[in-house]
Amino acid sequence: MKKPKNILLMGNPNVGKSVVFSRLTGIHAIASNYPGTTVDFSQGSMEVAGERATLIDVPGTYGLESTSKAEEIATKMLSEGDLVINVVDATNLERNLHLTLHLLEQDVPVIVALNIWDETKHKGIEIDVAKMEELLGAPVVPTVAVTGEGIKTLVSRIPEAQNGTAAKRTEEERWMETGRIVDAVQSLHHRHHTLLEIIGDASVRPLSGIPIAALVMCAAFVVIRFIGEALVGYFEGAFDGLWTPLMMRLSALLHPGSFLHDILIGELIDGEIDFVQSFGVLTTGLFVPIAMVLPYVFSFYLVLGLVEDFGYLPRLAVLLDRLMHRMGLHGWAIIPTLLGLGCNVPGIMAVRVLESRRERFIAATIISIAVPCAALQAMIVGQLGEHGALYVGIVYLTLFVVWMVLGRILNATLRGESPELIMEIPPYRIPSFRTLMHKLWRRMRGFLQEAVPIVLLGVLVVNILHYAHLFDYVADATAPVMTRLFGLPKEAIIAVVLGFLRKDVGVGMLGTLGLTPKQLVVSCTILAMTFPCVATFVILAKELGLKDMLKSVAIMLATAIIVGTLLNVVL
Amino acid sequence: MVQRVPITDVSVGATVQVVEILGGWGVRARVHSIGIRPGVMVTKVGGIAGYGPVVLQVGGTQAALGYGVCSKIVVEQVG
Repeated sequence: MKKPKNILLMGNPNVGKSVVFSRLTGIHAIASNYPGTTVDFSQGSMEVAGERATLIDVPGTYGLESTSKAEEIATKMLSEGDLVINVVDATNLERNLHLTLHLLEQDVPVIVALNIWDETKHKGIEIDVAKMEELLGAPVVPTVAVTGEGIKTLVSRIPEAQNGTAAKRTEEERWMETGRIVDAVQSLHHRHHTLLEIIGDASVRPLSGIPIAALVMCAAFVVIRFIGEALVGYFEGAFDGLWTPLMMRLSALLHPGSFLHDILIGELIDGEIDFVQSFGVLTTGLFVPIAMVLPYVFSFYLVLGLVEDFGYLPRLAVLLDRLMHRMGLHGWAIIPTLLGLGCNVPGIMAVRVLESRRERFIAATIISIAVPCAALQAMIVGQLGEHGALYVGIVYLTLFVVWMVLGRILNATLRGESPELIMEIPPYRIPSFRTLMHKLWRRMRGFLQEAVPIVLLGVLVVNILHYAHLFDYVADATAPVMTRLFGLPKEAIIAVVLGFLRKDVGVGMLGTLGLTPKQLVVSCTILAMTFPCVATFVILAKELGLKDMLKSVAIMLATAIIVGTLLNVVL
Repeated sequence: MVQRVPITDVSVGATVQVVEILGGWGVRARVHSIGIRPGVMVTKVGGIAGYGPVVLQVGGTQAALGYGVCSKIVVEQVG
């Protein structure tokens, strides 16, 4: 056999391909317990028989006919691979082998990783691996990717994989053959339902499902807030104790009022540094991302990771299916929405799993307009929280209403129908500490690498423009909208413009304007809804195409102006 | 007596045999892909009241299907 250069990792959704990928390459791909975590392919390198090869983690697919964009990608990539590692869920042979047989009909060597092997024992499933190899005509290796069991054997047996000799079958013949193989290799033993299965079933019945959903949501909220606030307090203390003395010394050295002082330290408030209001690169610029936002990004992703890996999200999707249908979406769309509450970028990327272009447009548009990311939320809570929870509540309620109403309007006005939910529901699983921590770390690292530099840059640019009085022109030009419609000082436009870089700095800027609570509510809501940050903008253009992105932005501006004016009038 | 009904009419907890899947090629292909096709036994695990989705168990797989799709899955029910 010639040495494989491009190895593809393929299998049904949610069989653990991404965990196998991490094991083989040492790159930690994000893995969760719901189908459709990987929408783009990731690639890494691994060693096979002493040679380097590229390993590609292909999005999950049930078949090689394309019924969604993710399956289309998978099918297209198959033509470029020299070898396929087919990851199969051992607890679910019947459905998984259908793809395996289809792969074996293609002109490419296949090796099967019989993953989730550990769960077969407590599910009362026995599989004759030797027999399975013989019937398939391909090497079959039991693996438990989460613990690493069987991975070495899998790699060492890759050279045994041969080109399939199976003749092309029809769909029906393939299912018949699947049934025949499953009957021959698998025996089932009766056993009682486990506690996790009982809770699993209870989560999708209306009488028990809705209380469970309410409980999960409340618990998630309380834990995120508790951990977030505790960390905010801790970091604030650290800034006050360690950073302030250093900055005060620097301030004396640079002399307040000088150009460098204005840029690095900012404005002194009553002779002191105020980390929220001074707005220097080294004061507010560091304080906002590290002490105000990072704690909430951490606690949000910790809780999201737990809920994801336990397998709750698909069940929530079932419960909310009817609600989402009114917006022209189906239940699965709640998953991108929740991801969007962390950061809009992965949220909008996840929209790719939805079947139709219409659904993708609606979902991406309402996420970018009405779903505030964790950084933005942390800042809103930070700025408004001291005036009372009521004000924070008004912002959230407004965004929620906009989300629902806009979704309904888009559903009513856009042509086309919304496809129905067809989604596999994985079993509940106790999350693996290892995958959970790797995922959390990856998401945190993403925030630190991307957010902190942009925040610093944003503060720097604003200070320079401010120093050069360039903002006055912009402020004067937009003054009618800001003051007449929104009841805000004309300088508030600077926060909106700054929000284009990053929303958290934008809200941070509002803190320097001395706004009333009502003005803060209006401006926070407008900031949340208008122009997404640069990163979201780019991803919108990439996922929707330029034309639809512009359409989405037009809807965004109109909605923000209407809602901002309404809030100003009503409050 | 054996009755043919859409699976939406079956009560939660019942196990029934799929007879046919109505509707176009696209819907059939997607329903087939999760292992629901004529001849297999399916258990109705749960469902959301009104016209909410239905949760079905086929072999080792649980899947949620929208009400509209489910009304196209014809099953044979004894009784």
